Amino acid sequence: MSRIALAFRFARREMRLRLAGFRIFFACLALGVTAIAGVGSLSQAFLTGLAEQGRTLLGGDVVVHLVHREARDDELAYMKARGRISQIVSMRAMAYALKNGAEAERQLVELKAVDSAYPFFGAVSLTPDQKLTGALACRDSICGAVAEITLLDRLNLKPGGLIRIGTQTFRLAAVLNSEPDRISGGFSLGPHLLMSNEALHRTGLIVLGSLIDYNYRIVLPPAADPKQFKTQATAAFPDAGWDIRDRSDAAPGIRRFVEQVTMFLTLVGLTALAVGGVGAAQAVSAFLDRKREEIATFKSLGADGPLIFLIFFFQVMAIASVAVAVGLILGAALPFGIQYLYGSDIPAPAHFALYARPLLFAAAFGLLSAIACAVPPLSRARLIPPASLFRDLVAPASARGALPYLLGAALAGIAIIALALLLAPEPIFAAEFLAGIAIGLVALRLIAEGLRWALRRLPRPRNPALRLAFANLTRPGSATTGVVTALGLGLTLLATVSLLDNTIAAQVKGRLPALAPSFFFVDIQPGEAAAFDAAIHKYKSAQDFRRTPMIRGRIVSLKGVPAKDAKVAPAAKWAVSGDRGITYADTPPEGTVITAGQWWPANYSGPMQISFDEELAQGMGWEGAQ
Amino acid sequence: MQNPPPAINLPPAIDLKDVRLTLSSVAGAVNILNGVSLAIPAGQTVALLGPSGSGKSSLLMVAAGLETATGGHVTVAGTDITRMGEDGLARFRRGRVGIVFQSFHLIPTMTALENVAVPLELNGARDAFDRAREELVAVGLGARTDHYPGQLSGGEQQRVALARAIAPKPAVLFADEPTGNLDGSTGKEISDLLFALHARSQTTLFLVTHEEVLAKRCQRIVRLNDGRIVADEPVAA
Repeated sequence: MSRIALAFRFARREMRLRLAGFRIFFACLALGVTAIAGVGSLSQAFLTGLAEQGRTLLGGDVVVHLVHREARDDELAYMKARGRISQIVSMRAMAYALKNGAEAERQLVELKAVDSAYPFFGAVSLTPDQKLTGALACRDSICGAVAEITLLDRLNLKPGGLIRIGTQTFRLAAVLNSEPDRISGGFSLGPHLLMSNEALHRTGLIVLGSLIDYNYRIVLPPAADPKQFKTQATAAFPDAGWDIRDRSDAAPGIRRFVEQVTMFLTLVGLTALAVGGVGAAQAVSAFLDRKREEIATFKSLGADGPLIFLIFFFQVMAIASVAVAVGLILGAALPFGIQYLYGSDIPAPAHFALYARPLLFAAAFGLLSAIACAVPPLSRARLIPPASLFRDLVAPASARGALPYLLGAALAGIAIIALALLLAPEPIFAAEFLAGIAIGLVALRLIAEGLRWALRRLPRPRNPALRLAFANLTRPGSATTGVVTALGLGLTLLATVSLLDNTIAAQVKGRLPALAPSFFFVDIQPGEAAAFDAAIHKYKSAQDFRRTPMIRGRIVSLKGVPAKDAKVAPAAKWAVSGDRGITYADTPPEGTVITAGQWWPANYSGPMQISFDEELAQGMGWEGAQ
Repeated sequence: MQNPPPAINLPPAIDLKDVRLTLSSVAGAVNILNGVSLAIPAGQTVALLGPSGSGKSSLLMVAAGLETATGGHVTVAGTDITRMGEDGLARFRRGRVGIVFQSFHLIPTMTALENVAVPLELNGARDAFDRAREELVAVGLGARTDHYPGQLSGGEQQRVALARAIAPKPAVLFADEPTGNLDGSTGKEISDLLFALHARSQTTLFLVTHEEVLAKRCQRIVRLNDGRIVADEPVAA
């Protein structure tokens, strides 16, 4: 019979009696695996939901996004030649309640003008239930609109009530319960309101300089590749300045959020495994101490060191496997529990199911942790001499196991780190986190050894209880080092989370100016400026009023290189990926610190000059530019 | 009970030459064995007598390969085990050496049958359980095969230990105070069984005891004091 089969057989017999002393080992491992499996399964449910509903969330296979301008005829023709098309126009506007023919309450709304093809996928839910095209239809001078209940609440209106947007009067035909593409729209400043494209043109809001987003949603033929469309469209119209997204990444913001939260919580789960690992090593050591006589008996009967190691390794791994299985069951059940408790309140699409990938990774983390923590003390079992059956021999607590076993444990530790880095969307952050854990473990071990060293040198107290306590802390094989390390690391984790919370709160507080504006108005057209100023000055409470000219524009090239090809640091990419607010002034705005170069003189005329945020300038390679 | 005559033409089952054992302690090195030389022919029964601390158990450990001598040469069943490492000694013991302890040292998680089968399984015997069952019947425990050590009396546990030691048909059977933890009548039963098993198997018996009566049932008595052999004499028939 092979050594492994023999060891397995003996291990199975050994495990008939209850394996006392493994409760903490079991709990640590099960909890760590539950955390990692639960977070992974939940994350996978959201990512799968986002991927499955990509078309619905995006509203098409691809979306061509333009700011400020509609697609030109040639661009429109290009799109129409490749699939069915629907135009969505969105902007922010002020809605005024009309009561008794006069303007009453007002509210900023996220306005979306749709055509008759909207929506390509999914359905708009309205109360009272009706067809969207009917609800948005214009009859005589009044057009229909539907809006979220919050708008009706804030304007004190009921369905059928009248509002004015721009120069057009609307009847709120229904309450907008849900839009299939809501999640891909991003951040909202106000309640959503839908109207027809025709109605939007009647509002008079489409004027030069208005901040308007034009989205062209395209449904491609089944065989067409959305990514290929993006490549070809960009090549066909290199100067279009459009942004094209496809169904594979319909809600990138949510995807990134889910991925980052998953990474952080997985690392917290790994820290829990590391804390538990210290306790697990102690539990295995104590277990082997209780088994000394049996180990020596096995050896006297002819069992060699490797066989002894395998017998007890199988036992520890059997317990670890049960703990991992319990952790996997709880972790896999976690998303279903969340669905049961909060299903209707979950704002993102999620496909709750059993996902093998996160469970496999959680199992790997659990089993590798068990190996990394249990093998070093198990390898010392080989050192228990058979002669201890005859005399009270104690293997020194500091004895190290044989090198191959320690290398095996180290390999398991390296595999855990590699797996964590492989799974992390930001490996550098994950590496820093894991390095922090490693440094924490080493520092705490040194502190524990220092404590033992100091206690050994202290004069023995006269009080017998204290004397016994001190002696117990410093005796060979005491759990002092393990307890100090595990408690210390656990507290470090709690302190880290608490400090992070305080730091973020302090940063938000610290960055708030002492006197922040009570109101911030945008999109005031040049022709409205004088009237707006006058309106503001009517209010005595408006103590400090400043108006800054602002236009929107894109950075199209950097040092002559098209922005899309320019080498830009990741932290600055956002500035070249969309339109930006641009202001102009003769003198630097109040509070501005010029870090390089000089501001242009008043009434300057000459080649165009710009002033740029220092960090962005560095990110775009303009460091030290004058 | 009659002992068989020693097999004088065979090489010694145990051959110790100038064996020394020094153990380190906090107080300094302690010399346990101080040059012991002893040859035991195959099949002979030898009792090792001596006061507490004389080195009896240490000599048994060195001869059984449980402890490595710090000097001299140890040959057991024709194999020089002096320089063997611990794992090599463990593998050497398989099938060649059987040991009966004063405190039985049965494995508490295994039944009587499994305890007896362990050395056979370690030795690769395919019929380990059949042979173990036969040995348990031979020591009168045929009805207790499925009992765990905790369910057996002290005498029964020592019978299981005897069956376990003899089952692989070892070249040498070591017994360290096999009746030391038992009352008088049970001890007598166990010693009767020990010599009966020896008579059946013709194995070499190396018995450590402090009981003159038990020692005199052997063919030869070796007396040890302060780590040295002070007397080595045959027992009158």
